[in-house]
Amino acid sequence: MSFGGPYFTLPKFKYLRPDSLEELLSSLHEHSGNAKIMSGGVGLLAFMKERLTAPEYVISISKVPELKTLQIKGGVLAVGANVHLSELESGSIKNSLPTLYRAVKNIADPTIRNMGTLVGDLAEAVPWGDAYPALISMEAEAEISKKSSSRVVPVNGLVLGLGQINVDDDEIISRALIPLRKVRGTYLKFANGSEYGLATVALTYFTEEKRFNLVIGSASETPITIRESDVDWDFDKDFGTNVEKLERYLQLNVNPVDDLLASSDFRKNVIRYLSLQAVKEVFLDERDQN
Amino acid sequence: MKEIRINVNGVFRHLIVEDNEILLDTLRTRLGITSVKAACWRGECGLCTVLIDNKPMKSCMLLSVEVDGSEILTAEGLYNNKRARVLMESFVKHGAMQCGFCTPAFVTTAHSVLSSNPDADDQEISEKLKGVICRCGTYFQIKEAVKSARAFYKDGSPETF
Ligand SMILES: Cc1cc2nc3c(=O)[nH]c(=O)nc-3n(C[C@H](O)[C@H](O)[C@H](O)COP(=O)(O)OP(=O)(O)OC[C@H]3O[C@@H](n4cnc5c(N)ncnc54)[C@H](O)[C@@H]3O)c2cc1C
Repeated sequence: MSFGGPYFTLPKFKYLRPDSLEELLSSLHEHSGNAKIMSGGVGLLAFMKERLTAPEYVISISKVPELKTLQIKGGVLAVGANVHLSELESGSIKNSLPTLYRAVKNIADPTIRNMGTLVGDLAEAVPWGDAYPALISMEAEAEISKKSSSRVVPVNGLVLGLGQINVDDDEIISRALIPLRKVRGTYLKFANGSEYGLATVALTYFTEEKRFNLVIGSASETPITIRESDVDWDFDKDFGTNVEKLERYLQLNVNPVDDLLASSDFRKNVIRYLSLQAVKEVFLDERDQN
Repeated sequence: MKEIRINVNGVFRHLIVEDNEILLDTLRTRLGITSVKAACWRGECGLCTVLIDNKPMKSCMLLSVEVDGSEILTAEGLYNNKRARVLMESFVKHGAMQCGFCTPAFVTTAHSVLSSNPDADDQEISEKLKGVICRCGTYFQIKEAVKSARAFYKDGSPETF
């Protein structure tokens, strides 16, 4: 408006703000292909300011009560699409879902976390996003809704590449569904002064089932998942032997991107360091995971 | 064009805004609220931080239509708040600024931190102020100023005044 250049203005669009999920889904159906969903708007407005996207309609979900809920039901934490990141910084999330808590704490800053949502961060689908690898490591699912139906799919596989999600134009990710099992977990990020990670490691260990998912983010177009079976991790063997196997696996199988921010070799070293820190924290450190 | 009703610093405003109007523009250009600074326009620097229903948010990343029905507080509105006045005086007393460009954003953010949790410890204060950048680097003094005003938010009596 006042400055007239990129970053200072937004392209023109029609703003719609439905009051219910039903109305939202009808509106999305009607304008399918010409509309973008707006949760917190932090990512969408940034993309629009840079003219990377210019939808004819922006459909805000801020007044849809069904999408504001954060609820535990049937052993699952359901995070509605309009639950802000700051709502996930509670003591109970810290205790029950440490991977999620720590990933959220690593996103941007507390002010942005009052505005942005977990589902929005996932849907933004940038390779350096923190929500996606954390959700994969916790084996979360996504509820995807459209006018006449809804489906539940694993979060793993939802992001296809930069800015691309496996969700149709008339669909919305209505909730992230995170299983509440006995877990230990952590999320580590190396960002080198910027808010975006050069590499991140999300580790969730399912203590009763004795298995884990170690997910490497920010180092390739989509995250890399490593399970205990991949590295032949044997919980009856000593920690040092297992760590050696993990190091060997990382050395042979993980080939991070080479870009302006960091070389592939540098990222590889960071991944090795973060992975070792993560397994130490989760398997050795019995102290409270502060 | 959309109609919005907002309460800005205690004054009810009924405005007609463009669908694509950014809140930072509405506040500065339409309402002349200049403590809200325009700098990066991409949610990084936090100098445009305002309190929306007492939560700090960056007004360059918000549509004006989205805040319909909200209460907005900026540094101008805090001037009449006794506790915030102590906080502002504490900034002066501690020399918590050099050029002063970021001061309104720090004051509004700190006011929200202390009014929502007067027991905020030093770590919480540091953490919650992370959304605002001071290019002069007066972070140490800013944190001291906020800590010093904390007691006043707790029991109504200032620690150092
Ligand atoms: C200064 C700054 C620092 C940041 N640092 C980090 C960081 O450290 N780590 C990180 O991960 N991110 C970071 N981000 C990105 C930020 O966290 C995300 O942009 C934000 O969380 C996105 O959530 P939102 O609710 O604002 O989404 P929106 O902006 O509303 O949406 C983002 C995209 O997803 C689509 N979308 C939104 N909701 C849905 C839905 N329910 N179903 C389908 N599609 C949907 C939108 O159409 C849009 O394309 C940073 C951003 C800024 C400005």
